Amino acid sequence: MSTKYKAVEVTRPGVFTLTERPLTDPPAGQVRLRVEACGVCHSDSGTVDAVLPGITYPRVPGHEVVGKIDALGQGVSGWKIGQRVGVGFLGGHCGQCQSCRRGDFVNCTNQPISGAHFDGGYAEVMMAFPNGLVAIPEGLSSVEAAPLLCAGITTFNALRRSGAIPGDLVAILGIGGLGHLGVQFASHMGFKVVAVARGAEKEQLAKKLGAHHYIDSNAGDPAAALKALGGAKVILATASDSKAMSAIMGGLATRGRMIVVGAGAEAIQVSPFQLLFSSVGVEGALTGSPLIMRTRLASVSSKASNQ
Amino acid sequence: MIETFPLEKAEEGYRKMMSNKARFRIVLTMGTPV
Repeated sequence: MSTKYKAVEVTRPGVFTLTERPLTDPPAGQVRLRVEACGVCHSDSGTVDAVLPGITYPRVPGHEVVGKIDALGQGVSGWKIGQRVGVGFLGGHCGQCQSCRRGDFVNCTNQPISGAHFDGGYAEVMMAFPNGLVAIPEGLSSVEAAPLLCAGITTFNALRRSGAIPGDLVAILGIGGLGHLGVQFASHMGFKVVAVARGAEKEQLAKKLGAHHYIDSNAGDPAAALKALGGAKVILATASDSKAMSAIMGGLATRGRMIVVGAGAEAIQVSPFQLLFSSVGVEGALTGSPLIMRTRLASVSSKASNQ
Repeated sequence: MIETFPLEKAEEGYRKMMSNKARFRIVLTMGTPV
């Protein structure tokens, strides 16, 4: 086995460098992965452009990682050499903070972000924390599994926890890396799915993926169009475009929720009138725990849901 | 709906994603069988 491996580092904001690094043993409490696939996610820009707090360089981005464990650090149990595993955005919870003690691992306040606070999957080798790992089921290729570890789990978990039930009108705002998965999950969950995107270009595809309706947000007021369909119980905002989010808020049904999963820095505009006269809300949802990832992966392993 | 790029072309894949041209997910592969 080679004693070196290739990695793509961000050496300073916006600058990628392909390097060779010496292969080292995993530190105590970590595992070493031979990476097979790594998805490219919009939130990698948090590392590339130093948007996330606590970024130091050089840093290898990448948090949709699938690889095989090839070495176990001291004290690691429960994982085997040769096992195929995934690593998502959240690198592994601490188990000690208030959130962890409540069982809310996603909101662990000491959790490192993969590819941001430690080196990620734009590399042939990566070190990872055991409690951030998810086993990848047979029948799902590493390339297929990778995007499910962030884009997939984020949209799935947000919909799962949204309170919408089969038959409810659910809008997916933005048909991109997250939205194209969100439409499929929403459709499989039995929702009436409205895909919302700019232009007519994506209509056919959205419908093929399971959308029942399509709203071209360039063609008119998307909130009015959504209202005309009865109003949405849930709007899953996947596009990182705060203006588009503001523009569609008015399309919520009473007691509806807009769930924000697309990451943007600009403020979302919503008036108190909008919120209180129909009891609607805006909330955020961050990815999901390894257990939820496992549930998600197992449920798609027999059919390629991102094909 | 996955487009693969070899690791060596990570930057190209990243730039394509950032310019909203990915249809719909870009995945880097490491030259090992997947």
